[in-house]
Amino acid sequence: MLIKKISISFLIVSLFFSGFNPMAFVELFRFSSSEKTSGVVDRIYLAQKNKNVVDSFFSKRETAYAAVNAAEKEYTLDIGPVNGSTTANYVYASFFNPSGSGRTASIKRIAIRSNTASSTASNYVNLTVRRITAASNGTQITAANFPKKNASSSDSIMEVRYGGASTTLSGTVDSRILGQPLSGAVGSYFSQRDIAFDTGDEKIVLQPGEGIAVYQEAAGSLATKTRVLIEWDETTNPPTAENGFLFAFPRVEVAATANYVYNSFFNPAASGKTAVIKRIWFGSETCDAAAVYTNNLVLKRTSAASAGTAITAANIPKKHTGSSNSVMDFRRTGVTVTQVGGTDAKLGHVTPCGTTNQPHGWQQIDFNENDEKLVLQQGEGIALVSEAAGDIDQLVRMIIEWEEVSVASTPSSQGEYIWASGKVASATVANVTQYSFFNPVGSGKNAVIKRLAIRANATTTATYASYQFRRLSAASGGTLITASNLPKKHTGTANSIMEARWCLQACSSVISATYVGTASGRLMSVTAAGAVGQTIGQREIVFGANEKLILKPGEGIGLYNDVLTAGVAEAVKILVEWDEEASAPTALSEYLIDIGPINGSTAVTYNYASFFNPATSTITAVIKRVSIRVDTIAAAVYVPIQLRRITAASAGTHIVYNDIPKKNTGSATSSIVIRTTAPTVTYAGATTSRMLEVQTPGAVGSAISGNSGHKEILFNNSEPIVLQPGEGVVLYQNPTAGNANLRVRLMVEWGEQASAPSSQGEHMMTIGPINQSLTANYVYATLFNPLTSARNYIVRKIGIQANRSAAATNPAYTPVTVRRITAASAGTLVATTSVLKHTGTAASTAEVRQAGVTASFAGVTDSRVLGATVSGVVNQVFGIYESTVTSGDELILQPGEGLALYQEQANGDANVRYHFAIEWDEESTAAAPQTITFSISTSTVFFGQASPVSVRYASSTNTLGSDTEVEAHTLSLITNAPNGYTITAMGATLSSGTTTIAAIGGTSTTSLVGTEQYGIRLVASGGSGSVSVPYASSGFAYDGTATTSTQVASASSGDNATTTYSIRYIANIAPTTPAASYTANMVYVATANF
Amino acid sequence: MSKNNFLTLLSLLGLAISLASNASSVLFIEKVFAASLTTLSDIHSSVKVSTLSDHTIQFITPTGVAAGQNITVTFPAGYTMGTFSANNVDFATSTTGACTGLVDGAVAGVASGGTWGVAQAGQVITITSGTGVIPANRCIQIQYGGNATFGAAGTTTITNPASANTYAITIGGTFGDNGTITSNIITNDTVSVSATVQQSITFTISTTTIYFGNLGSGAIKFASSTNTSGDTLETIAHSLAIATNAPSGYNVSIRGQTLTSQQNASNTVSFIGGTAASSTPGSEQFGIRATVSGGTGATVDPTFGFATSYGYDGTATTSAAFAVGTGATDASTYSLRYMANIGGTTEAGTYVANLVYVATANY
Repeated sequence: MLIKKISISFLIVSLFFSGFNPMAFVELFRFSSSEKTSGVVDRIYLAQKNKNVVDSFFSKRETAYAAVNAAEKEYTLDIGPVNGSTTANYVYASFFNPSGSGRTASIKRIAIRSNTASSTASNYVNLTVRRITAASNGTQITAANFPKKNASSSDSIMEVRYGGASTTLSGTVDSRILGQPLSGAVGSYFSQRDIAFDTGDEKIVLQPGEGIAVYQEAAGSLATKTRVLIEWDETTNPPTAENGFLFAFPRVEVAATANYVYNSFFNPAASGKTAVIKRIWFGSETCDAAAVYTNNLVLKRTSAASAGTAITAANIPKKHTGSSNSVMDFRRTGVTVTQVGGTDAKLGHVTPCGTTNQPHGWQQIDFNENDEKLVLQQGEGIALVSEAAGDIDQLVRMIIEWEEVSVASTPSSQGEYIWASGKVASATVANVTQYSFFNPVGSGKNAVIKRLAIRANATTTATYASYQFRRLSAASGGTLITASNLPKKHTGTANSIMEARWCLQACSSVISATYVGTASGRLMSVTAAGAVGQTIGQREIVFGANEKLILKPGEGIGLYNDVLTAGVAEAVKILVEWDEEASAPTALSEYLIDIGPINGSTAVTYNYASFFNPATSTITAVIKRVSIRVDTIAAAVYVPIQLRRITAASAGTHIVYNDIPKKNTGSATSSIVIRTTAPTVTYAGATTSRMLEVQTPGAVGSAISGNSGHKEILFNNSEPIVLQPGEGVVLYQNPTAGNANLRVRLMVEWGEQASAPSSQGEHMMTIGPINQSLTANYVYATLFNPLTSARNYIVRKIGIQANRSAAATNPAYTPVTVRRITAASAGTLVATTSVLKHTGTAASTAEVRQAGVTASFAGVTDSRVLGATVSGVVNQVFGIYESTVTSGDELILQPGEGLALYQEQANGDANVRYHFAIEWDEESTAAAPQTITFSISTSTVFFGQASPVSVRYASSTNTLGSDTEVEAHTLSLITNAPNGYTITAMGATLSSGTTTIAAIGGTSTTSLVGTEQYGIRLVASGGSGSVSVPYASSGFAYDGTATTSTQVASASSGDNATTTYSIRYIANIAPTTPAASYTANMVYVATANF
Repeated sequence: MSKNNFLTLLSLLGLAISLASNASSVLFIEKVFAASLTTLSDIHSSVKVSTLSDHTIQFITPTGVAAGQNITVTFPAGYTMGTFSANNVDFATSTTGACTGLVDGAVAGVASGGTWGVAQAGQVITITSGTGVIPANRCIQIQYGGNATFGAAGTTTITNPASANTYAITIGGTFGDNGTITSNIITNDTVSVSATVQQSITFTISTTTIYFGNLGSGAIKFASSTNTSGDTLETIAHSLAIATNAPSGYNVSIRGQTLTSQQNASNTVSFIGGTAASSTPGSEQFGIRATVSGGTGATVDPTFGFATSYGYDGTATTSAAFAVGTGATDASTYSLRYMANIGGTTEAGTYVANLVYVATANY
């Protein structure tokens, strides 16, 4: 009642102050609602998309915030958990675009996870993604319940079903887009595929009547839980087909002999095409019974392929069904190939699984968007090969994403290489160099390292030795890899000048290496696996858009073991991807250090490492990557270790400045003070001001115990952590004592610049740990944008961390979920101080709550933004799942919206610790900067000689025109204008003085040879723009004049997506058409309607 | 709702009505409704750099314009404004909330009564109300340049910026609403389309051989292309077809000596001459008549153009005009009839005439 009185009083007062204008009431509501509709678009993003634009913003952040524009129609949905089935061909989920929908869906990311949630199951049948042409039955999630990235977008038109949908599969069983085994035994974590297409890559395009399904190819297990995460957008026009493909080879299960070829991908000699490979995933997915570790699985270039079982090219799934069939040659199971180079010429190399559920035999090579791809010209291929006798229980396959271009469009060589080493398995004392990669003095080239990887696996119990890469200034001895065996990405590239050496499998060939600085100067380091199936020894760094590691002549890197002796039970391999440039790249003042391993401490509060920009420095540190690794070599404890901002650091052990590795030795010595071993620090903010947090592993890893202590954030598409003078971060444990068996590392990649970059308003925070509740629908944490914030939250990363720290009591293996909310109260408010990436950022307006929050959920239970299955046994890691939302299409929280982490069911115990990790920025709800970009591909087109006996079409490339319909040129337009745009054409018809060729007029008309006709027609692709009548038909028209324009295209709303209009011109003449040179000047004008 | 609550509500409502009805007797606060304009656009006639362009600016004002208020349109730096004239501005408003049915209002250099004042200072064009009022939620259209045709015709004076980029035109003024319109000026907005049409003329003769057969002094004979004995009834021996895109048409001429004996070249069948004449059996005559169908201005020369008479005045060395077309034609077809008569003294022999037809296009 009080509320009613207050409301009425408020209305009266409003009326009073409005001058008693009744419209005041309307205005009140209008203003309150309009605050929700504004958007943010950043021109920096658009500039960064143009490779010709120098990114002077340094952060490489893609900040389109495209999803802020509700017209974009961006969605994300995590389907499941879907319980397993014993029915063959059971469809876990289908995602279907119904005929007549009027939209095309483009999948930007798809992730499939399978977990086993009881100890009774051990099933490894194929879990496959394939195209479908129909879907029905199952349980349908209504479109209104899909989480939209922008809640103001219209509902999706897709049909999502789960739990036994009926589908019509396209192609054959070979037509797999993705594939993986079901999750085998409880606790395994090998069964996941997660593919996010690069901005410039073709997406999986689903036109009306098309879809995909995730299904099992044989009877599965009731104990599995499958989840399918899809991010997609919907546009009115289908994008143009780009001849992109994504294909999962059939997995092969055979007792391979030496040099057995599982899968072969070959470009035939006369294909007329070049394959540009963007992604290769390969190896043993896992084993379904005891196997062997001895058959190195390697990826090799080939020059011929035959035999085996060929897979029909027509069955290879296209990303866009409008593309032509692939012209590649696909074979499996005992293919005969001609390998290029010797044994050392490996593109990739993994040690396979040796028993059930092991994940370590799988490797994913995703070529960075800015790096050279693997180019396979005619007569070239790759194959997945077993170097020695394998085992029938190894499940082996290759997944490839590529594009096919005409031979004439073959990318030019960019001088890049990728090489995977053999394996070292040797009992050596500490500090023995196993590999060196050295640029010899006088080479005339500079090596630019783009990717560096270590894979230190165990084939039986090993020592947990530490392996690290460090810079070196000299290397000799060992066994030199022949230059011709260092594989080129493009065979047009010259042989490498680099000296790659190794000490052979038994490390009998001694490398002499001179390392730079002390042991503290590690570039990258791992604790090698100490037991079979562990993956702690695998690590990779891809520099991407950051400064690369530059090796000038006389510089190199080496990998060696320290701390402990190495063992014959290890299988240590490296992989390097690099290019070679004649000129040394300009030094960009970037650095990379991997601090540690630091032994765990039993103290309650312990600072492992601090990274501090002293108050007296003249630089700002811009952290571009931070990676925490906490491993254990024996039984330990489950405690949180976190990264927090600090304002002072002293004591501990100071790593001398000269030991901090520069990426380019031309850079100045770093100014950062790095301390280890219990430095004294002053923490910023509250104890809840955790930027990152992990839970330490309490026991050694295995095939079913993963790496809960690993977490890496690469700020490639988000604001980096900016440390101005007097600011730093620390990795510390609190509030529970650790254990001496822990091995702690903190890797930091950063740049130093004279002035601080401007703040971009981002925050990163890990909420928790919060103890598990036994109550169904308990809300662990929320991030809420209050109605009064006047900001939109751009959510870039969402992470669930559910770590078990003690045994479970049933019910266990319950789902934990992130969903959208519309209100949050109660629980405990958590301070958001000092979780700023840049201290120049205004304080967050977010309401962060934890532990028993009361939240109003949007949608239904199925409206999951993200989900995971909580581990039922300690050290299981499938309760940890983090999603980086597609860059540029982030999830938007408008005022009055939020996200909640909650559990869907009751639990049997309180032994799980929950964290909710969020990375977001806050942008004003003020109107977005208006944008419009219009372009015309050419300014001149030619009909050549018109004829009264044959039709003529204009061409921009052939001055003689064309006798078949061709695209003369294109118009492209992108805008965020809320009311869309129009494009008009104006100009007289083809004229010569006063003599003209008659324009067709305003009615679409087919070609009439012998009759004067001048007209155009347009075809739209991409975005939501459409061609106007009469230009949208298969006939031609034109009713513009020299003084009046005619509308040729429009969009009702600007969706920030480029629509490209392909324009075709027709000319016919009569026999009596006077001879002359005719011209028409067509003026195209685009007008945005804001 | 309880009775008490109902009474409370009623009393509050009564208070509100009371306050409203006595507004003048209590503190009155003027509410200023300033808002963001909606549905903004600026249609350029050209978006090419450094090019004169007309502008059609439209927007909807949520607030409206009161008497004496003004609207400003500010072009960003880069646009060259040119010489201002009130004639260059048209100012129209809608009667609904849509930009349709726009009605122009009177404009002049200075606002007066219902006439809106228009002025330009630097990059800013100002439209000022005299007493004119525009209600809220109406579309306003400002045309600037050669497209301002209401009253006096305007001139295009604003030149696009020289650099390809996006430019935001700002709408503001004392009427309170504001907004921006962003346009993309590009290097070239024009696609030049070219085509050539070559000169053409096609001229065909349906056959190259026709026959009179045996001539006799007692009856006329007509040539035939299909009957080697000729024909006793007039028949079309062959046709000429001509098509040309020559704007001035064409001429067709004919030359060749009359029927001449192959045994003695001095023996000929006399041709009729330039004056058409009807058939006179028993007298030597060689002549042609033609009809034409189709084409532009196609006519047969009078020598050959009569319905029942024939003529021929060509020689082996001189051409006679046969036909003309006065314009481009896609198909003119001439049907030719050949006649021959001989006298009783005409020498026996095989007589042949080779007639050469030449068509000339007049471009």
